Amino acid sequence: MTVREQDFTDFQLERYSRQIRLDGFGLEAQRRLRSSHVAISRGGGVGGTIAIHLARAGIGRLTIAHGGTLVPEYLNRMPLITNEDIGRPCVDAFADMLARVNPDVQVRTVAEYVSDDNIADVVGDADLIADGAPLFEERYVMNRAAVAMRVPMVSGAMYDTEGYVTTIAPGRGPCLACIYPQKPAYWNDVHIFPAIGPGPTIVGAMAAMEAIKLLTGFGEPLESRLWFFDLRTNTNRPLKVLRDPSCTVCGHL
Amino acid sequence: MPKLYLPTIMRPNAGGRSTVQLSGETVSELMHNLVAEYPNVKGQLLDADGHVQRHINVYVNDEDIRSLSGENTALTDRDEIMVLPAMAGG
Repeated sequence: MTVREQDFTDFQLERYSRQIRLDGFGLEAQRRLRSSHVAISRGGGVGGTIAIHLARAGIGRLTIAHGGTLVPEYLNRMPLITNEDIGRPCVDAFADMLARVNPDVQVRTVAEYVSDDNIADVVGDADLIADGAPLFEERYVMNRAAVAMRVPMVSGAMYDTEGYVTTIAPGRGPCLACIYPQKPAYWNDVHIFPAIGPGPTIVGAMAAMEAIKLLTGFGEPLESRLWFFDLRTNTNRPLKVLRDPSCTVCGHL
Repeated sequence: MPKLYLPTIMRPNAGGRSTVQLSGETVSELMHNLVAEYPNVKGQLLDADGHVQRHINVYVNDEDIRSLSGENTALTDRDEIMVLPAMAGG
């Protein structure tokens, strides 16, 4: 398809002009973003950062699954909320912020955490899944869905000042269960991890860039790499991760 | 001696250190030498059989030891080893 400037409004051309100028991006990548749907598990520090960057970049549709109401301890890291949102359902605040950021983006919210019961509804016809949940159980549900649907998943996680991002390409590289076949026994509560804003923000921004790359063909995705950092020690490593042929989730691909 | 990166969650049990240099001709030997130096790390690092717990990945020069020789992977003095537990914070 040939993409012409007439396919976008003057305002859209100006708001996306900086990224359209990126070598290898252009109007075609912009059109691909606009026609894409990303489903995100949770809109917190990581997931919310993914959502806000995808909205600013001009994604077409976002689905965000997140239960509960907003409490003060979310304020140190979640980009989609403000003080005034405390007590509101999380997804309502997320949708309001994203509408202010870019009203062209269609945002659908699911006021529940991801589970086996709602995963089909959450993911729907998503072109890509983004995983920013604070519990392994939710992450494994998203991973199984990505493998079953053969859609890519960007996974970003953090603990303390550490974080990682990896891109899961079902059948080509390791899935989350290949990399981490078993969760830590101590990780049974969302309050387990300490966090300060820049950590999840970096994870989310990197994950958003991965999503943009995968959806548009721009750049090189992080397949079979787990990009790890620790902000305390300025450690930053692109670790190699590999498929597990006996993986119960993706070993059959 | 090989240089070992310790994750934040283990540092309180390792004198607050983010890296340590310990002798060890294999990954397994290095892990047991770490436990000998910092006994409180043992419960976080090793299972009942003395192997690295399954939720922890070990990398030697950025390579997962599962693609090498596992805990029998041989080490040299120049190697950099990372111990990374699974994390899920969002």
